[in-house]
Amino acid sequence: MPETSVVFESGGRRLVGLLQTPFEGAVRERWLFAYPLFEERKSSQRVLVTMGRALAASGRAVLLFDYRGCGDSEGDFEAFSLPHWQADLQTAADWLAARFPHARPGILGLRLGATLAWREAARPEKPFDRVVLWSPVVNGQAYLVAELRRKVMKEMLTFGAGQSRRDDLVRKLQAGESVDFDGYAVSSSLFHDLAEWDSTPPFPSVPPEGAIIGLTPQARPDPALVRWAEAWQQAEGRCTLQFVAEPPFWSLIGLVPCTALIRTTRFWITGETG
Amino acid sequence: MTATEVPFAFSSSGLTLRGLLHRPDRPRDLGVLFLHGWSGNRLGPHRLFVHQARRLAAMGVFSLRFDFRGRGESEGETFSTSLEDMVTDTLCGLEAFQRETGLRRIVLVGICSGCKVAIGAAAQRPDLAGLALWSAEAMGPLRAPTQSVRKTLWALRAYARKLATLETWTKILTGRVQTRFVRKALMTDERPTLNEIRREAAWLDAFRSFQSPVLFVYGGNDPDTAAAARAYAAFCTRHGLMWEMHEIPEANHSFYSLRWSGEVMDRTERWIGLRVIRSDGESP
Amino acid sequence: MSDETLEARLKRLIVDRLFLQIPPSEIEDDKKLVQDYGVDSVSLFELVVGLEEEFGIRIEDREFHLRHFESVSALARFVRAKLDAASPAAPTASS
Repeated sequence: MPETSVVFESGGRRLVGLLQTPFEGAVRERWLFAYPLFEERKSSQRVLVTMGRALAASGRAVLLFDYRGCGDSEGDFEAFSLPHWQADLQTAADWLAARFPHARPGILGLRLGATLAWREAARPEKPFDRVVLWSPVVNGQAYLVAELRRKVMKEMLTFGAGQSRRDDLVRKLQAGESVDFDGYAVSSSLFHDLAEWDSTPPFPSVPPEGAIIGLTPQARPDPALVRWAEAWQQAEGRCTLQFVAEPPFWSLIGLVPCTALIRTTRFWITGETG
Repeated sequence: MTATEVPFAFSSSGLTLRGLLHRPDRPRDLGVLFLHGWSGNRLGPHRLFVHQARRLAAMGVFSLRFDFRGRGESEGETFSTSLEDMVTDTLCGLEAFQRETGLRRIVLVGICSGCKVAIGAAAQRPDLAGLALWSAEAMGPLRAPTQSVRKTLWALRAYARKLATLETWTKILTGRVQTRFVRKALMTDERPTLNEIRREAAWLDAFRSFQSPVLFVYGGNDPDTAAAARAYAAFCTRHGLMWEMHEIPEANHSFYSLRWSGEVMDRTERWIGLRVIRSDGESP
Repeated sequence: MSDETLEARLKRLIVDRLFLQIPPSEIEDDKKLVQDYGVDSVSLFELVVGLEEEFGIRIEDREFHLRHFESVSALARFVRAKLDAASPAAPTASS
């Protein structure tokens, strides 16, 4: 199906993306994909591109793009933070809407991209009819702790023991300094924005309809995502919760087909099997 | 990024491969083609290729970063791409790059498996202006006998699951799946197939007479490539190649820190300035 | 808990968290997790999270030494020490 590299502006910066469209027929839905951050963007890309192709084959248009300071887009990573990237999602959504004004809008995000997608979709204007969240980050503090732990583990494998101390890194960030997260300069702003990010319920506003798909060993339920889905329902949104047994492909070095994830998502969005 | 970073696509084996072309404001007759690793994409690890390409543009050097088939945004099957396919993609990329820009001189910059691809491409393009090889894995007869695979576990995981489906077995039986993937998934030690060794040996054989400069950069704490560094050093010395090697102390395989990646880029730019640009009679 | 039971639990955890398609019994006690089984920082992270959830222990940053994660045997010694340190002292019998 036709794919085109695209460039558009957000906040004065040029963003690079890929537009995937059906080979023929009208576009019934337009889907915006929200990439995760840091090296998760690199490791997850092929799965998201493949997901987009599956949707394009079913009459959907899909836009994948890089936020400011990320991927191929303009800017340095440390110059931006969550509010900029959420604004980039809005710009991208408008760009897609201008091209497919009669198509129903949806947004799909992975990890922090899913959390950004949630925040965008939950705005009072309800800019998206449907939302799909792949393993969304529930709590920014917990996410930061996990990333710092990963850093220490990488050091252990490189040097035999961890070298960074989490407390030292946090102290630096709190003092306004940037910290090196494995080649990404994490600014104090991003640290504070993440630390304040808490998607635990109750929610003041929710998207009208969506699916949370958690990737866990043996497809075991993740209690945090169960609570998220329940709160979504209680706030009168329609939410489907599913778990698939897939590895955390966004942090893997190798490539993983994620067939179950793509099949499950495609079925939820299109109602099509096979 | 300036207005001169533009999406760029080209064809290889009938597939559309996607990339980004960096055009400098004050161009020299020199371009760099970036070759990512086996499971990577055109960004390189932690955007290393993006940063390097932008710095090179400031030096007047064009860059093309692209996704190999089956990777990133490019067309193609993800799980049946081979090194030979990647060499084909590189050769097509080179042609497209030179056709688009009119450049005479191109340097290949590869990381990890991308270095094997660079050597394979150099076997057919001896006119290349140089190779910069970051964390080059040993290939062909240079492979250490006990080189254990860190990727085996993933091959086991990913491919073993694929093996469970009838469709996959059908593809194997009808020859539509490269059996080396099956073998890798079922064995605990990685041993290249005879064909792979022969192919890599042929590339190395041609590489013996490569006459342009070669730069190797390795991380001092990279357990995968310490033996490879020694093997390439011996190979290049034996065959009189114009080579140099730089080790970044304590760095790991993909140079996962701002300091290490900065040093990789500094070293590469210095080498380009001294060995590639100056050798063409230009001032760096 | 017997030593054998702990090793077996660890092997099950490794297969589970690393999404391996091999029986846990095929993982050998003393083979190197990194060199022989290709465990990297990503799978190590998943393993650590799994250990904490499975055994109710907390692994501090200062405890991240490669020697604890070298093999299933090493991991068993580490986990056993953590569990022993966490369990309350047995009451002494009064005479």
